[in-house]
Amino acid sequence: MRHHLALMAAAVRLQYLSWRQYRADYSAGLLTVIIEQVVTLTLFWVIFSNVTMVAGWPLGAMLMIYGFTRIAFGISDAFTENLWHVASLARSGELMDYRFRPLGVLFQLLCERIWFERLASCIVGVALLGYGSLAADLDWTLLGLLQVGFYALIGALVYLSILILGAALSVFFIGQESGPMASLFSLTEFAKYPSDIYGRLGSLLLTLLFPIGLIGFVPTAALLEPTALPVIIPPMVLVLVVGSGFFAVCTALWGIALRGYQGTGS
Amino acid sequence: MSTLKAYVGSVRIGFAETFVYRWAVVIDMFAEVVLLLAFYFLWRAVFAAAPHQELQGLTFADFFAYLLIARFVATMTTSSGWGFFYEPVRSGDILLDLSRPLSLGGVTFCQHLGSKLAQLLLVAPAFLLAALLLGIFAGMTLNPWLFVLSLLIAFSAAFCFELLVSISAFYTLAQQGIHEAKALAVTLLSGALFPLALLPAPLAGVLGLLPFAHFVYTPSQVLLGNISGGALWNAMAVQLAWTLALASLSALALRRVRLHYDLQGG
Repeated sequence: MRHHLALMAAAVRLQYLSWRQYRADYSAGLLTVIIEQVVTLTLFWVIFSNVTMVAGWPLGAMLMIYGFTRIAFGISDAFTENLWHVASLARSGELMDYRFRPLGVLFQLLCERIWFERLASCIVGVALLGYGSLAADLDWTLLGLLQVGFYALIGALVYLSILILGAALSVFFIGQESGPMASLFSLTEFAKYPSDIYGRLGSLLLTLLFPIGLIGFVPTAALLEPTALPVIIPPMVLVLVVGSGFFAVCTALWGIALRGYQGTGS
Repeated sequence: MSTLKAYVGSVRIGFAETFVYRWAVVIDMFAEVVLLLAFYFLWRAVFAAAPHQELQGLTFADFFAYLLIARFVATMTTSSGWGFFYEPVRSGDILLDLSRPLSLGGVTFCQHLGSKLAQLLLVAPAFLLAALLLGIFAGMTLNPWLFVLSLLIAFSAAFCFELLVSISAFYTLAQQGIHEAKALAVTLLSGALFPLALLPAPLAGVLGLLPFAHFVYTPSQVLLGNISGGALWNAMAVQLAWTLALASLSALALRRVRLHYDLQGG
């Protein structure tokens, strides 16, 4: 474990130096982060210039949900860019190179490229969360702030798990570019809105089975309106148990996919 | 004659390549369905909260009919991925493309056209089926022939814009951020997420002056019969004018690349 942490720290240091060197190139990535927020916030603006609430949730709550997703996504996105390339690595046979090295393949992929500019998403998320909570008249306490940190980390774990699952599918379906990953990731669109708009069954599925509701909706409901939660379990326990269970399942599937991978070409 | 055969051959290559990766198209379609489903629930909740269940005179059925058509048009006109030239510039193969006795822009257009024709065969049945199952077009007066014409112009305009952005690969390989930012901006500004009429009138007016609205919004409005008479011909003339302007700009940019591009490595 100490060995892995030391390697991780070295990777972060090297990537940071590289990032400073090529700041101009990375600024395009920063632009993406900004435009991404503009798109969703414009959508919210259009909605809330016509109505005051969506399924009983006011703008403040919607901004909090979206803010939570941005913080979690920013943390995860900074480390997971390489997972989007697993399809192409598998197809070209380069994924085999990773298997020959004396480190876990997933660990290598996560550490190889770190996108610091993607952390800007976290700053936007914190700002939206702060503004949304003010609009929703939420009184912050130290415990509430600690809860935010906890929910953000588990949310990042859920995002990471989805991408690991997507990478596993990319290995299963070699030759399909990044299709499986993109399709799976498209499901995270559901995380940006209150889960109860999808009905009781949809809300349950998005909390327990494909738990993207844990990223934004459950934390927001836990802070603002705990009675809106689809299951009667303390929210922090729910998030911890389901989030880590989902991570365990996704990493197990990644392991199975990798064991079945026999390389391509020569 | 042989030049014409070469361009027709390029259309066939684009068509065949897309069919080789047909599962990628099907998987993309899955992502599209997911987005439509998420928006279905979100906007259903929004319309349920609106006075008289209408927004700017639109019912939920009107809105969803627009959204379904707009997503189909967006699939046919806009491009995902990292542009036309990232891979060939990175690998150096672009030298072969530039030295061929054919227009690089023309060949790229033909291959893109072939790819979109294959995509049309694969996705159009799914959109038609969804429209029939949901009874979306029941009682509507559609304008299919002018829609096809408007769609063709939109396709050409969007291609020229994509070509212009793709040419940036000759100057920087930081293409991911550039193309993600472009895709998000086009999605928002073209009306692929909601009808631009839902925006405040001054902003909708400004967006109507930009080329992006003519990639998706104009063809969708033409099909739904929401613009007619002089306004319809005016909209299509503006669409055509933007296509010519973007085509001239991209031709100039390609000419500049051909004259000044230095390939490194070997």
